[in-house]
Amino acid sequence: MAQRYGGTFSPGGGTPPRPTRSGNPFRGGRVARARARVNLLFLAPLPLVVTAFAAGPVGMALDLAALGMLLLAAWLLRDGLKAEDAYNARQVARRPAIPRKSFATALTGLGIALAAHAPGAGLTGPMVYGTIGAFLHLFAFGIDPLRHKGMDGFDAFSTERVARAVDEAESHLAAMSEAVARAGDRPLEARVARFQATAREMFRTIERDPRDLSAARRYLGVYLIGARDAAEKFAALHAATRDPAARADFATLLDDLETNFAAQTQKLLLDDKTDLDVEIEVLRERLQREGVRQD
Amino acid sequence: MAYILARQTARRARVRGEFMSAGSLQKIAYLILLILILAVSAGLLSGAP
Repeated sequence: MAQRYGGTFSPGGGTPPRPTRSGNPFRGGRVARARARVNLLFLAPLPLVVTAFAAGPVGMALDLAALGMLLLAAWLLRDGLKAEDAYNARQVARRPAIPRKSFATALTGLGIALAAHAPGAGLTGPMVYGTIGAFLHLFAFGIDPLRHKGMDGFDAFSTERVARAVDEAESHLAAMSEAVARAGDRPLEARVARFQATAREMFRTIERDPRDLSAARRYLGVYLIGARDAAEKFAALHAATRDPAARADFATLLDDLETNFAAQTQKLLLDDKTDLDVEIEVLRERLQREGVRQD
Repeated sequence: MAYILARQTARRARVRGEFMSAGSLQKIAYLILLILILAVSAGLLSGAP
């Protein structure tokens, strides 16, 4: 993300806070896959804009419909890949509600068939082109994740509960980002992104062990809803008055939230460590008792 | 793009002993798809049987 240039000696600048290890917004981030390929798919059908005007009225309608379908397919594919990346990044995830990549495959086939169809000519050729296009699309980008992803050793109900709670918490974070973006304060946006990275670390910890959900319920619900409401109120006030005191208060709130979220995540991890210690202790004792001794 | 693809494929073949991975085949499928869409959009394939 672009940042305004500035440093200690810039007008109105101070030393920017160094992101801590846990609050680094890029921590745990992954490179988005195949985005350049999708962008090219937006450009490839654009010649239809020109050919549409040389094809007569029916041909024009067909070409423009084909253009619309191919652009819609590229758009669906881009969103489908984003949804798949989000699915892959999580330990517990539900399958995407809309199979966007599959729709994109079907629309690409239809779009190619329509673009290849000339009024008065047969349908066989366009249908063959469309089918080839759909298969190539399917092979190049695959299909959407079709199954919910859960952890072994935990029942479907608790993983489903975690997935739902994390989805809800993510929606609060997204609303918070939107609100702060409205305020138009770039350093504060970066500050919120840092807090969100800390919150997401807690989400991943809960996904790894769904039993942690009850201990973190308040954080995912009450505190995040409070943070979202505070962000919305701050954005409205900041847009109207640019009050520095309100900004400082909001920044302090973000500091407190981040500290608390990080501390709770550490506590959850400590519980996991205790579980691991118990598991190791039990197994070692059993091996000492029952295993082969090398005397 | 074709050059990068060929270079990647050759490197993979040297390192892993594989001639072509699923990822390379996907890239090739994507390139053919892109050429197909371009050709169809430019009217090069219209009305062909």
